[in-house]
Amino acid sequence: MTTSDTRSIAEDALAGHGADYCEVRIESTDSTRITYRGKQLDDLNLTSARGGAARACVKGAWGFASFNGLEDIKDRVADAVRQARSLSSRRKSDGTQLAEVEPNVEIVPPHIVKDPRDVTLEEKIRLADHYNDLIWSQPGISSSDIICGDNSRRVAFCNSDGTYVEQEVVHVISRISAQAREGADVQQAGFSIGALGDYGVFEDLDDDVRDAASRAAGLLSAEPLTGGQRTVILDPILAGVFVHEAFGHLSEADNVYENEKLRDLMYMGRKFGGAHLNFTDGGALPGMRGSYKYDDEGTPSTVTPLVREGELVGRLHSRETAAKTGEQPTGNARAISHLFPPIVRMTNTFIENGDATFPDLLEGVEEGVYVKNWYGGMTQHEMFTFSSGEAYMIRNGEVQEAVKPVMLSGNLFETLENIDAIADDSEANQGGGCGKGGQMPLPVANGSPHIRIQNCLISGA
Amino acid sequence: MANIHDTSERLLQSVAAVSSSAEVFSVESESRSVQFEANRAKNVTTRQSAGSALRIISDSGRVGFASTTDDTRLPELAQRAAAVSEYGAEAQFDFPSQSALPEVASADDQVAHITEDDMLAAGEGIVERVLAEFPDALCDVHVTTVMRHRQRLINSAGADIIGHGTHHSISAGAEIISGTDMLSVWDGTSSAAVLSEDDVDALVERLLTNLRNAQRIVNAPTGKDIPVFFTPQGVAGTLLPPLLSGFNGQNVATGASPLIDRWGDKVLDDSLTVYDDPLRPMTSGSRRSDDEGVAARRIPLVTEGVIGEPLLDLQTAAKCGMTPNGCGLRGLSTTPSPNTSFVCVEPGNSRDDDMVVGIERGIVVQQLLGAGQGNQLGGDFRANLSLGFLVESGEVTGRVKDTMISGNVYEVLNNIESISSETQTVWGSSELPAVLCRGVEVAAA
Repeated sequence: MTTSDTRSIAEDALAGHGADYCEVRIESTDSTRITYRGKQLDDLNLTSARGGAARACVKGAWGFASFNGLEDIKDRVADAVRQARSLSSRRKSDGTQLAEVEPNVEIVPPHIVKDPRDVTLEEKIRLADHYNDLIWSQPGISSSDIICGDNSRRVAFCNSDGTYVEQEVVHVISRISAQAREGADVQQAGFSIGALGDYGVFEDLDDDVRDAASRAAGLLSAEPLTGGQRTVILDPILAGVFVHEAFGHLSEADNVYENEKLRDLMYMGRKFGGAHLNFTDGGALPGMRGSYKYDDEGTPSTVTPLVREGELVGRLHSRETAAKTGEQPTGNARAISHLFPPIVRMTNTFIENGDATFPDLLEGVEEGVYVKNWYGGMTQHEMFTFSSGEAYMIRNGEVQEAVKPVMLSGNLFETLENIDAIADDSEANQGGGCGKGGQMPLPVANGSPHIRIQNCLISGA
Repeated sequence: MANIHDTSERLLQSVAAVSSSAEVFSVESESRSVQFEANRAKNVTTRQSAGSALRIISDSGRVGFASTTDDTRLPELAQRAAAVSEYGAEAQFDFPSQSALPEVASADDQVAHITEDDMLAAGEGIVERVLAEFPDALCDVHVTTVMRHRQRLINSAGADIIGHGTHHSISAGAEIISGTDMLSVWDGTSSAAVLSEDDVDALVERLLTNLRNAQRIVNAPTGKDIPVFFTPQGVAGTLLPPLLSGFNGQNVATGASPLIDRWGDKVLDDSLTVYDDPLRPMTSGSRRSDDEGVAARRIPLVTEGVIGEPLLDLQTAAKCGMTPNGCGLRGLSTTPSPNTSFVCVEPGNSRDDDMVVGIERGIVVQQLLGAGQGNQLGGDFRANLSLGFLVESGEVTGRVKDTMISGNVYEVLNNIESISSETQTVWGSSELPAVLCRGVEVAAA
C-alpha cells in the first residue's frame, strides 16, 4: 500500500468521528526467528501480521478497538468512539485533557546500519549454526539454546489534530545460552544482544559464545552465596537493568498522575542520593533499540533528564499524563502493537558517567560481590529485583572466584542512597525487552558505568 | 478476514503444489475488556483478530512454517513455508490422522451476552467494597470477556478439529501508600463460563483478607530452617514454574531437564501428586485435543512423589522416543511446543487454619516479585516477597518487607510438612492447595 493510499484510508476513517480526540494506527510487521535447542535447529519461523487500532477520548474516557481487517476501519473508529462515549456517561467527567502537540506530517525512514532483510536465511542459519557448534566444542556442555530474530514494523499514525506520521523500525535480537549438568545439577550461562537496524551486532560473537559455554561448565563447581546484605559492584550491563527497574518505572507518569500520595512522594526536587546520581531517558538519543522519532501518539521523542545531582527533575509522559500533571509531553507513549493502546514507557535509560574508575570502585572493598550480566528484573512501585547472570567474590579489592549468580533486591528510597561510587566507563545494554500492562517485550535500551552499592540485599543461591 | 472454514481449506489446497504433507491452523477471536484505574473506569477495549499458520513437511523431511494475520498475504504463505523448509528442523514425526476425541465443555454462549454495562457494574462493585473498608486504597480492575474464540486444525492426513472457547475473567488490585511504604495486593478469577457472584465474592474476600493482614509491617525471620507456608498463589508463582520446566518435552529432548532419566523414580515427597488436566470442563485450558490433533488426556506428572511422564508434542515425543501425549499447544505465530492446560496438585489432609496454627515462627508466601529469573531449569527459585506475612505462635502477625526467598524445588518438595485439604483455582489455570515446607532460605534487609 502506498503512503497516499494509507493516508487517505486513515483520514477518511477519522472523518466526522464525533469524539473529543481520535486516532488510528495501521501497521504491518514481518519477522524471522531461528531457534536452536540442543545440537539441532529446532524452529524456523516466518511471521507476518497486519492490523490496526482506533482510539477515541470523550470527556476523559477512552475507547479502543483493534482489528486486522482494514476494510471496515470506519466501523472500528465508530466502535471506539461509541465505547468512549458510553463510558463517559457512567463516570464523573474531568474532561479530555491532552497536552498540546504541534501537528506533524512526516515519513520517517528506518535507521539502518546493516539491514537484516538483506541477509539471506541461509546465511543467518549458517552463523547460528556456527555459534551452536562453538558452544558444543567446549567441554562439559549438556545443552544449548540460541534464539536469533529480526523484525520490521511499519506504522502509519493519524490523529484528529492533523498529525500524520509513517515510521518504520527494524530490530535485531539474540539470546545465546549454554547449559552444563552433573547428575541433577543443571547450570546455565548466556547473554543477550540487540540492535536497531544492524545485523552486524550478531556477527563476531565467537569470544562471547565461548565465554558463555565455559562459564556454564564452571558454575557446576561454583559455591552458592548465603543471602543477606553485601557490598556489590554492578557491571554496566546489570547497572543498566538496575536503573530501568529501580528508577525508570517510577518515572513513568501514569503511576503518579492519578495517585496523589505517590505524587507527594515523587515531587520535583526530591533528593534520592548523592550528587553523583544523574539519570536520563530519551527516545531521541540516536540509533538505539529504544530510539524513534515519534511515539505512538505522534508526539516527537525527546531526551528527558530524570535525576540531576541526586534530585528528581523530570518524568516520562503521554499527552494525557503531561496535561494532568501540568508538565511537558516527552514522547514516551508507546504501544507494542496494534493490539494495545499506547501507555507511558521508557526508551533508552541511562546512568550518566561519574568520575571514578572501576579500580577505584574495587579499592577498599574487603569483601563484596561483583555482579555482571542479567537474567531479568522486575518492579513493583518502590520495590524492585534484578538478577545477575554472573557473580564473583571480591576480597581485599580484587575480583576472585565465580560464585553462583544471585538475585538482588532493593527499595527505591534506600538503595539509591546506598550508591556510593560511579565509574566513568558507560556502556549500553540493548539485549532486553520491557514488559508492562501485558505489553511485552517492548524494545528498550539501558546502560550505565560500573556502580557500587553498599548494603544491597541479595538472595541465597 | 475471511471465515476460517474457507481459509483453512483453500490454504491446504494451495499447499499441495509444494508439499504432500501439510497442516493449517487458523484462529479467530473477539474480546472486550473494561479497565478501571485509580478507582475509576478509564478504558473500554475491543479486539478482533484472525489469522492462519501453515506447517509443512517437505519431501526431504524438513519442517517449514509461516503464519500471517494479513489475508492479502495468504496466497504467498505456501511459498514462504516451502522456502523455510529448505533449512527447517528435521521432521521426526508425521501429521496425525483424525482420532476419537473426548468430549470436554469449553465454551458458554452466555459469555457473549455479558454487556459493557455488566462489566462496568462488576468493576464498580469491587471498587466500592474495597473502599468501604480501606478508603485510602486505589483500585485497578480489569474485566475481560472473550466472546468468541474459534480455532480449526486441518491436515493432509485427514484430521479436522474445530475448537471453541469462551472466557470471562476479572483481575483486581488494590494499593495503599503510607509514608514511603507502598502496599500492593492483587488477585484474579477466571472461567470459560460466566463468573458467578460467589466467584467475585471470593476474589474480593481474598483481597480484603490480604489487605487486613498487611496493615502492620514486621521484621522477617532469616535463615534456612524456617517453616514456609505457600498459599495457592504462592505455590503457583514460586514452586510450579521450576518444577514444570523439568517436565517440558523440549528440555527432556535436549537432555537439559534434571528428570531425563528419572521417569518412574521416587524423587519428591510421598504426599505430592501433580497432574495436568485438559479434560476438566470449563477452565481456560479445557480442550479435546492439542493444537496438533493429538487427543487430550490427563498427564500424571508426579504421583505420590514418583515422577510420571513429560509433556510432549509431536516433535519432542519423537525425539524422546515416546508417544505424543497431547500437550502440543501454540499461538498463531509460533510452532507448537509442549505446555500445560490446567495443573492440579492433589489436596492433602490438613486444614489451612490448622497448618498455620502449628507454626511457631514462620512466613507465608503469597505474591512474588521477580520469580522466574535465574536457573529455573535446574529447579531453582528465588524472588522478592511482594506480599508475605509473618506467623508467630500460629497467628499471622503482620507483613514482611524487603525480604527474599530462595531454594530448589527438588529439595523443598522433598521437605513437605503438610498439604492443605482445601484447594483454590489460581488465575483460572491451576487448582492448588497451600503447601507448608522447609528448606527455603529467607534473607531480609
